[in-house]
Amino acid sequence: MKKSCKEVKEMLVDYADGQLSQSDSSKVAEHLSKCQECRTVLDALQKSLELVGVIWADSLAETDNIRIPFIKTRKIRWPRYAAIAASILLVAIASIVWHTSTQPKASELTFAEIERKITESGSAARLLAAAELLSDNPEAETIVKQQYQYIVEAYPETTAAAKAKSRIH
Amino acid sequence: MEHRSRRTFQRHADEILKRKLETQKDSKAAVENAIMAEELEIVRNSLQKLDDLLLAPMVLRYFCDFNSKEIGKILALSPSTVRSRLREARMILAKGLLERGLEP
Repeated sequence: MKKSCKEVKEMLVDYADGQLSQSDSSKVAEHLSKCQECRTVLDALQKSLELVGVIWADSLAETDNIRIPFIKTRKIRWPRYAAIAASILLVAIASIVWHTSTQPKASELTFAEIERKITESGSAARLLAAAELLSDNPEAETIVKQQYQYIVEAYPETTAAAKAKSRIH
Repeated sequence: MEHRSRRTFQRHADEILKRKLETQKDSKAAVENAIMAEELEIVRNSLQKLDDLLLAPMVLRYFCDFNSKEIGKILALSPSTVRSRLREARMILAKGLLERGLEP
């Protein structure tokens, strides 16, 4: 009887889960009908599993509670992101509009500017060429230096001015 | 007059009886709740003490509806090892309740 109880107790979990073969299952059932102690163990097995289920459901509910505020805050933040995106878009559109509206003016200006720059660099280049011709003569050194200085001051943005600057130093 | 007082007495008696039954029911429910809370606490304690090696198969088996073979694949164990761990885990939890004295 005692040994049989031990055997049955080892099989009880599988019995409760319905994992035993037909013959083993009926043997256990037969023993259970006679043995109060093993019935108590089976009850405890089932009850403990039920309670673990309650704890499990509880813990799931808790994790849900943790998740809900997270979703809520995300939902609350969306308008904020939308506002930021809208303001960025607004700035971008405003700058594009500004550029397109000012562009015709700018292109008109640049044509005049291009003309001015061409004439400037032309004159500067001619002056530089003249100064370089003079620089062959050692007596004209001071005049040539003055010429270079003039090119640098009068046509500061031209390539000739840059060259003249390098000649002075 | 006598008739009337008897009727009121009966009505009062009925109410008293009803209340008594209700309080009995309430106290019975309260006792059951207390027992349940205590048992929950015991199981919770046993679960906390339970080794992860035993807990993992149990959660997978009873709350994620995997069978021993699938759990074996997940945890890299043989199905028979999974079953023996399930057996061990459940006996530990049951013993926690038995030590306290299971209510019939």
